[in-house]
Amino acid sequence: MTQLSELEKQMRILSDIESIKKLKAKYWRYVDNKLWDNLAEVFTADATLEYGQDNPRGRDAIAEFLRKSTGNKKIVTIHQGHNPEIDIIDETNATGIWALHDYLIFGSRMSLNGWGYYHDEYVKTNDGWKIKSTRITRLREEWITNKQVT
Amino acid sequence: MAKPSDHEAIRVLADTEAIKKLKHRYLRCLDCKQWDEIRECLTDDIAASFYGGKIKLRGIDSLIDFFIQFLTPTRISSHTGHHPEIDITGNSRATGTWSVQTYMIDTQANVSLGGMSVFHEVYAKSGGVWKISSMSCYRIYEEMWNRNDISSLKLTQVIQYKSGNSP
Repeated sequence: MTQLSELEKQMRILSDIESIKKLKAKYWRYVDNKLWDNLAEVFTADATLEYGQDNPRGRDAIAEFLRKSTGNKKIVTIHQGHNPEIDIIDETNATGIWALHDYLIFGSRMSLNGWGYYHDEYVKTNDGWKIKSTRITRLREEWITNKQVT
Repeated sequence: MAKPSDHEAIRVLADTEAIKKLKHRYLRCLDCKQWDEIRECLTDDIAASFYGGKIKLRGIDSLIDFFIQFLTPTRISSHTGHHPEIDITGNSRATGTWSVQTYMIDTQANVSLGGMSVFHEVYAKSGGVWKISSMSCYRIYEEMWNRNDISSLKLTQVIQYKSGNSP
């Protein structure tokens, strides 16, 4: 095994960053389109999610947690990731911080605008990059409640 | 010494970046109503499908006619592209999925519209230039509100659309 040249290394880092951004894009699309079966594709089998008191462990538990929280057809979720800070630690490990803006509509009764961050760990498997852990922290939440609608 | 696989990886990165820029330029032209410049982003035989297939158009002229009819001067639009999933599928072909946020103000009806769509697109490269050859989209949600309902709301700046170069 020859040493990677500096150029090859830099190119690999750029490719990996691009792959991780695409991985996260898929995650958001699957969540907002309620494609729960596809979620397994973006997580490792032992992936963890942390959101306040909720802490599902394993990708099946994560999919179940997201489905239970937002799976209802009357709930519309929009998650947007901004300002990625991806760090490639080595050939198979990376971390990422993303700014989150989410907009959730709960039927005609209320809606939520939220802001926060994702703190992620990624690993490269034989099947490409996967999310190993994701921790969501909140900056703030703003709720709109429409009491006029019954 | 760079290997053939390295050249391939560089090409994929460069093409991915070029396609992102193409989409950004397209969205800028749309919101600035730059109907001449937007043509440079689209293939002549582009196929477009909006609102989950309710509107289907073929050819660059019918698509631009649709834009001009829909995005009238009293409708100020803002479209932003998020979460690109670009796949370079050949030397001159690629596909992409985007999440596009829409916010529009109709100053005549005094109505605002917000929404989010998923776009599936196909890109073609010709003469070294990528263009959009197919786009289809569906809404995740769309909502409208009467701007009169918000008593303190005041529109303080509006673009002055002009032909030719973007403002």
